Formats: sequence, structure tokens, C-alpha cells
Amino acid sequence: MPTIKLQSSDGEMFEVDVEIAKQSVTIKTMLEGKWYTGVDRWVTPPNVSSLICPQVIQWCTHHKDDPPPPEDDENKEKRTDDIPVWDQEFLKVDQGTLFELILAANYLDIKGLLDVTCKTVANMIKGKTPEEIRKTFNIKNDFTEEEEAQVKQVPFTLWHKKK
Amino acid sequence: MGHLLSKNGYDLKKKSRKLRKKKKKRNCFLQGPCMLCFIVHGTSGSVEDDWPFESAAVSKVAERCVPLNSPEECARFLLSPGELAVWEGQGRSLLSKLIGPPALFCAVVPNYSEMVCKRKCAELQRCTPRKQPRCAFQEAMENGEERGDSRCLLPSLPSSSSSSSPSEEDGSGVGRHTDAGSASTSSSSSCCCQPSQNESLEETKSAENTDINQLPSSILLKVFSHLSVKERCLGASLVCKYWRDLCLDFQFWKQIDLSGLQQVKDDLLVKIASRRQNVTEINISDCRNVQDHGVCSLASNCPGLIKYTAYRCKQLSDVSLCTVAIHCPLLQKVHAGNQDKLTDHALKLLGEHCKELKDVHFGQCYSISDEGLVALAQGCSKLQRIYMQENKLVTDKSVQAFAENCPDLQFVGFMGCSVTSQGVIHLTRVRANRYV
Repeated sequence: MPTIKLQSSDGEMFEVDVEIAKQSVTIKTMLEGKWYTGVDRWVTPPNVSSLICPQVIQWCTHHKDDPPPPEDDENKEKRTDDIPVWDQEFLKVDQGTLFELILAANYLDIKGLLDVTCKTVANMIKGKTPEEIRKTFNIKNDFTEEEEAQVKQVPFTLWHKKK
Repeated sequence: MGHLLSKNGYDLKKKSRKLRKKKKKRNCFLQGPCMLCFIVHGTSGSVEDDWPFESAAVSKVAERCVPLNSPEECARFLLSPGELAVWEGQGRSLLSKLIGPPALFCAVVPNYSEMVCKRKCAELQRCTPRKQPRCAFQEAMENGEERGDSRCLLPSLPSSSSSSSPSEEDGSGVGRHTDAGSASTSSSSSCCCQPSQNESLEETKSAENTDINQLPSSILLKVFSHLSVKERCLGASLVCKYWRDLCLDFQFWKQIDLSGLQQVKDDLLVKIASRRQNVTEINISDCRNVQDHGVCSLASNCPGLIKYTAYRCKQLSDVSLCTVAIHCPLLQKVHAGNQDKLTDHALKLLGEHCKELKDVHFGQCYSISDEGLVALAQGCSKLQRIYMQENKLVTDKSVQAFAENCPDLQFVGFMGCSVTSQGVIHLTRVRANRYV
């Protein structure tokens, strides 16, 4: 079976089936490109470390038989409670790793992985007060009291009522 | 941005020629030695002095890489216009297109983090290789080329479609929302790509702890799109200024209801318009401080507008509705009750341009007459609901026109108009008529 190598940012090589790798639209397009002539083929997505690379490969391997993800329907209500159990377990990682996965999925254009990772982050935000969210993600509160009050008032009336 | 590269081979070559020129001036748009420079400008001789590679690595590259010394060779290895079109269609960023293919030819880089525009560096916000909206990237490229700036244009591009803070003078705590041409980018002129002492330290540090705010704004917007309005409103928008600005991003506001808000003025509508978001519904009823200018701005930038509601906006003239009619062919609902200044002219334009119109309300628009309504009826055969009230100039003629031209009519109101029983008889002949 034809394979392709992924080289992580720190130089390690990981071999993966071409068919599995093609879940990444980035890789798929590169493989179909005319300029791609080498025998010993490898791809180096920037900033995908040797820790993240195998995880991405693992996710893609598990999902290799999935049907292609549907196009984003902007009008459809977006749900976050439909993450498959395997993915939920897979994504029980520290935040740093989660964000690295998001970035890798973004660069490699793996829609399914990007979707579940973003939903996971959304779930980390849901149901929390701003202070709790800040604690979760270690974000500094840069509002002055005035600004905070402003946000609380004006946008309330501007948030549209539907959706 | 797509048109910059995809359609025309010449543009492609021109671009790589420009890159080569810039390289000589140490002004590669990717700021110094980077993968693209390396590939495009060849592996030996023209390599910059401060290129961090060992000579062994360089020669290894020379073995494995095709020397790309001319624009023609570059063109062969960059995506063809057809392929680029595929990428464009998917809205990929220019970076991923350019970096992608040449990645295959890359050297075994000893210190990878110094090569490409790095995402983790002191200038966090500026160096994220993310999918940029194309217009922003092109803007920045043009800016960079004009200025001959050595700044890393790739990353941060605060595009016109990325969030803009309602209080722009704020400068936004983390300084992300700079406009392409703004001063703040020039203030941090040393780009992350230059392996500078302090930055590389911070890079390695931050490489270990990816922070949520280091994610590209497009990703954060994607995350926020999974939240409900309430969660964005009560939770996310109060976390920090950056999140506030993202949450207020008009991409979440397809249906905007500003009714009754006196603080809404033209500048807000212009801002909404400038975001180029496809607003589908707008309600500015009772907004006394909105003028024609604001409405026209919005209309001309929102071709996807479906519902326009503007009750009691007596300050608005025909111009507003005319502009809406001309620019919004998908319009289905127009409720412009109590706008004294509306005339038949606007209705004629609606009849001409808005074939999808289903629901109209022109009650108490005293200047409207049969002429306008007949034109509307003749143009908009899908009309289902028509409401008129106290329009003295409206007679049976209009009713007849509706009856004859609008088979889907469900509701017709003509209270206080000059409509007689004759008109009603016309209507009863309409099959789908449910309530008169």
C-alpha cells in the first residue's frame, strides 16, 4: 500500500497510508499536484510537532472509513453534544495538546478533526461564568470596570433575538 | 486574492519575480529566510548569510531539491492555475498554498522553528499561519509591497472581515485588530521570522504552552459559533476584550434587530455594512437617528438581505427603499409602514428587482398610489401578504392588479383605502385567498 511520510517540526518522520493521509485536504491536494514527482515523498506541515503528528495520524486512522463530512450549513443549529465517544476519549488531553491538534487540523485541513476539537473547546466554555472561563483558559481580564459594564449593557439589546 | 495567482500564469511568474527582487533587498514578503525563499531563490549562492543552515544540510538539500532559479522553474513547482482554483474554491490561505507544495522539497532543517513564519513568538498575534480571508491577505501583500516593509505579512492580517471592535480607539488590549495599514504593525517592525534573541527564547517557552488566544481568530470564531447567543452574550463576551470583539463579530448577526434603539445611528449601520457579513434580516423600526445614508450603506453591502423592517422611520426617504430594492434581489419581506416619504418610485423598483417578494406592509405611507402598487403587483408574482392602511390613493385598481398577478395571495389588508366592494369581488376570485 502506498505510503507517505509526515515530518514533524522537530524532524521526526512518521509513515502513513496515503489513503488515510488523504483525509487531510492539504495533503490530498499536494499529492494530486503536478509538481509532486519525488519517489521518496514526505510532507512537512509546519509547526506540527512529533507529539501531535502521531495523534493526528491515529485520529485519521480511526476515522478512515467515515463518510465525507457534510458541508457546513450555516442555518442549521450547531450542536456540541454529538461528539462520538471515541473522539471524546481521544480528546481527553491537556489544553496545550488540544490546541495543537486544532492548529494541525486547521493547517492540514482535516474538517472532522477540526470540528470535534472546536466543539470540545466550546463545551469547555458552555455553562461557565466569565470568571470561570478565564480560570479554565488562564486568560487575563483586561476590562476596566467601565468597559465591563458597557459590554453587559449595550450588546444585550443588540443581540438579536432569534437564532 | 485568488485573482492574484490563480487565473493567470503571468501573475504567478510576476509574483515569484517580485519575490526574487525582494529577496535581494532582504525584503521577501515572508521576511527573511523561509521555506519559500529557500525554494524560490535556490539553494546555493543566493542563500543569505544569516541562513542558519549547516553547509551539510544545504548540500543535502541540493541533492534532493530541484534548483529553482528562475520564475519558470518556480512556476512548475507552484500550483498550476487549475490547482490554485481548486484551492481558491476552498478558500485556503495563500500561505498554505505556497508553503504546501514546496514543503515536499524542504531540507532537513536543523532548527525548524527559525524557518517559516513562526506562530509562536513574541509577536504572538502577528505570526499565526492561519487561514486568512483572502482580501486581507492581498491587502497586506499590496501594502507590504508598496512600503517595501520587512514585516511578516502572512500572519496576523487583520482582515476587513475579521472582527472589528465597536470601540476602535480602544486599540483592543492584545492589539490584534489593527487594520492592514495601521501604525501598530509598523511599530513592531522586527518580525518573528528574524531569529532574534529575546523572541526565540519566548518562542520555545510558549511552544510548550499553547494558549487559547494564540489560536487564529477564525478558529475562535468557529468555536464561538457553537455557543448559543446567550452563552456568547453572558459568558464569552465578558472574558476579555479580544473575546468581546469576536463575539460581537457580525458573522453572528445575520438577523439584526435594532428596533427602538435611539443610540443606533448611521455609523453603526455603516460598520455592519463594512463587515461584509451577509445580513439576512434587519429591523430598524423606530430608530429615529438612522438616516438614508446608513440604510443605503447596509443595503449596498448586503445582497443577501431577505427581510427589511422599518416601521415609523419617517425620517427615511424614498432613497433608502430604492437602494434596498436595487441591491437586494432576494428580498422577501418589506415592512415599511408609516414612512411618509415613500413614493411609487420605490415600489416600481421593488417590482422590477425583487421578484421573491412575499410580504409587504405599506400602511400609512400616504404618498403611495395605484401606480406604484400595480407595478409591484406586476413585478412580484410571489406576493402572499399585502397590508395597506389609510392609503387614500389606493383604489380597486391595485386590488385588481394583485388579484390578477399574484396567485399565491393569502392575506390582503386595505383598511381605510379607497377600495370598494368591486375590489373585493376581484379578490374572491383568487383561489388561494384565505383572508381578506
